[in-house]
Amino acid sequence: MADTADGIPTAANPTHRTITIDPVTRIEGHAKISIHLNGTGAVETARFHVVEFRGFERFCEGRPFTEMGAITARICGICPVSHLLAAAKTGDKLLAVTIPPTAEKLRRLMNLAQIIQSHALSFFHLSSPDFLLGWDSDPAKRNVFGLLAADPDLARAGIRLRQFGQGVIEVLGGRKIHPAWVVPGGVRSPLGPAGRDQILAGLPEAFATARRGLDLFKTLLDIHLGEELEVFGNFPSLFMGLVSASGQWEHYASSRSGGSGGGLRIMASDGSLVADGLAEDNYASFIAEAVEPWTYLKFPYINDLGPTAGRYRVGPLARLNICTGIGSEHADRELLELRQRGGQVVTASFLYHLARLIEILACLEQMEQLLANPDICESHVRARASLNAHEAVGVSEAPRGTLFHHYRVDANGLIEKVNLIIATGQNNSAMNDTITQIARHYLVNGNLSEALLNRVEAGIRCFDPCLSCSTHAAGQMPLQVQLIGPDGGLLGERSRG
Amino acid sequence: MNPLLLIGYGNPLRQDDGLGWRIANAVEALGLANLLVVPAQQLSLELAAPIAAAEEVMFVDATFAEFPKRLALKPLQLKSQAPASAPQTWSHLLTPQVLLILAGQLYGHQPSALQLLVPAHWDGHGEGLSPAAQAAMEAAIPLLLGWAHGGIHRA
Repeated sequence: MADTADGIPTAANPTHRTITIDPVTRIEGHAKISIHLNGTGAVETARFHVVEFRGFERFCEGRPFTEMGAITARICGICPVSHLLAAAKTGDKLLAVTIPPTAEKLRRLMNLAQIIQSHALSFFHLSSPDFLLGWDSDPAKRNVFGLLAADPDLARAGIRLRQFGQGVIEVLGGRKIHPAWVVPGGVRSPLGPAGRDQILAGLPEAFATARRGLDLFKTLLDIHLGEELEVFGNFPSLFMGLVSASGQWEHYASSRSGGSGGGLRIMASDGSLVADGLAEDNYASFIAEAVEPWTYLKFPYINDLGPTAGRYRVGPLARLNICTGIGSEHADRELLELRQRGGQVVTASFLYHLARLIEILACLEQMEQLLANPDICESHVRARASLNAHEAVGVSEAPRGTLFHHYRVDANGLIEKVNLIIATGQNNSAMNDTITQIARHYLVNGNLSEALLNRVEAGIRCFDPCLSCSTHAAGQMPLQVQLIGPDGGLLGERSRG
Repeated sequence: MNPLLLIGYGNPLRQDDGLGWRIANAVEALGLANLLVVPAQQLSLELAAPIAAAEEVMFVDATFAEFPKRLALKPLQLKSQAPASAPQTWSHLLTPQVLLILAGQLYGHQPSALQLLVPAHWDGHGEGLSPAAQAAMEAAIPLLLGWAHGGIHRA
C-alpha cells in the first residue's frame, strides 16, 4: 500500500518521489522505512516510521502504583525486567525508603541478566546472519536457519547464552517474572545458596561464548566490515546514560538511590561533558520531545541545545562512550580496544554491535563480583513503608538505553499521571540519521536493490529497537517496498515472503 | 520430562490478543500432571528447548482473522526444515513452525504439535476480554483438558 503520509507532499514538491520499505524485518513491532528522493534521484532524507501508538500511559491511570511493575512489565515481552526495575525505583521514592543493600545487589543481578539475554538475542541471532552470511546473500537464507547451516555451534552457543540470562532471571524471580519480584522497597524474596551456585555454574560457558562473539566480530571488522563503520550511522551526536559516582559504567543506580550513583551524564562526540550528575527527577528540565506527523515515535532532545544540536544516542555505545571505565578486568581491556578502534568517543553506530558484546562481558564479570559478595544471600531484602510522596521519577539502564518512569499519585497511591520515556524513542533521531546516511550511499539511480534494502534494515538493527506493545501477531507480514512517483502514483513495488 | 507442553501466548494488555496467555494461566492453575504449561507474552527463542523435550506441543493463540469464527484445532504440519518465510518471521516475533524446526535442528527432536486458534475481536489497550472472547476461552479450557488427558485424536 502506498504511504500517503510521508510528510513530503508530492503535489507541492513534484520533483520528489518516495520509496517505502514496509515493515522492517527482525525488529520488534510495527515500523516501516521510506526513502525520499529529490528530482535528481538523490536521497533527500529517509524516515523510520512507527505506526503503532503505545498508549499504555493512559491505561495505567487509576491503578495502584504498587502494581506498576507488573503492569508495565507486560508492555514488553522482550525486556520486562527493565520496566520492573524502573517502576520499582519510582515506587521506592514514593515510599521514601532506602532499600536494603542486598536488595540492590539482587536488582542489579537481575538487570545484568536482562542485558545479557537481550544483547545475546540481538547479536547472535538477529544481526550475525548479516555479518557471517553477507549482506548480499539470499534473504531466504540470511537468518537463523542459514546461521545454523553455516555455523551451528555459534547458533547454539548464542541461544545458550540467552538461556543463561533468562535462567538467572528465573532463579531470582521465578518463571513468571511478570508478577513482579522486584517491588517498591526491594525484592520479594532473597537468593538462596543453591540459586547462587546455579548461577555461578553457568558463568564459565557464558564467558566462553562472550569471548567467542567478541573475537569473531572483531575479526570480521578487521577483514571486511570497514565500509559499514563509515556508512552505517557514523555522525557526531550527544550520548547520554547513567554513570557511577566515580564516572564508571553503570546500569542501575542513579544519583538518589542510596548515594551510590553518579546520575546522568551527557557527553559530546568530542569528549566534552555537556552535563554531568543530572538527577532523573529533573529530566523534564533537560529533555524535550519533538513530534513529527509521520510517526508515533517522538524525538527526544537535550532541551538547551534544541532539536538538532540536542540529538543524542543512548544504549550500549552511549554507556561505553560516557564512562571512564567499566571496573572489571576483561571488559576494561575490550573498552580500551574499542576506543583504539573507534576513537575516544565512538560515533560509528555500527559499533553498537561490538558495544553489546563488551557489555555482555561486563555483565558477566559484574555478576561474578556480586555473587562473591558475602551478603548476597542475606534474607533482609525489602523495606516497608506507606506512601510518603506523591510524585517521583525512576530510571534504569535497559538493554537499549536509559528508561524513565514518572508517576504522580493521589493520596491513596492511585496513579494520576504516567510518563514513560523509552530507550528506543531516545534513539529515534539517530535511527533516522543512520538510514539517511545509508540510503545516500547505496541508492543508485533510484534502484530498489536488495543490497540497499538489506543495509537500510541493518542500519536500524544497529540500535536493536524494540517497539513492542503491539499485538504479537503484528509483525507477521511480508516485507513490502514501494516506489511512489511525484504524482503519488505507484511506480514500482517489491516484496519478500 | 513432561510429555505434553502447552504454550499459550499473547499480550494480556491488548484485550483479546492475550487470550492464549490467559488460557495457559487458567490451565496451569489446575496443576495437571505430565503437562508443562508456559504462558508467554510472545514466542521466543529459548522455547525451542522445552519444545524439544516434549512428546507433543499445543500452541494456543488468539486470531483476529475473519475465519475461523469458532475454536479451531489443527495439527501443525511442517513442509520443510527451513521455512521460506524465515526472514520475515525471524524477528523478536516467532511462529510455532519456526520454533518446531529450531527444536529439531538445535536439540534433535521435533515433537508433534497442534495449534488451537481462539477467535479474538478486541485489540485495544486494556485487560478486559470481549464477551465473545470470554466465551471462547471458557470453551477452550475443557478442550485442552481433553487433550491433556489423551482425548484428542488426530487424523
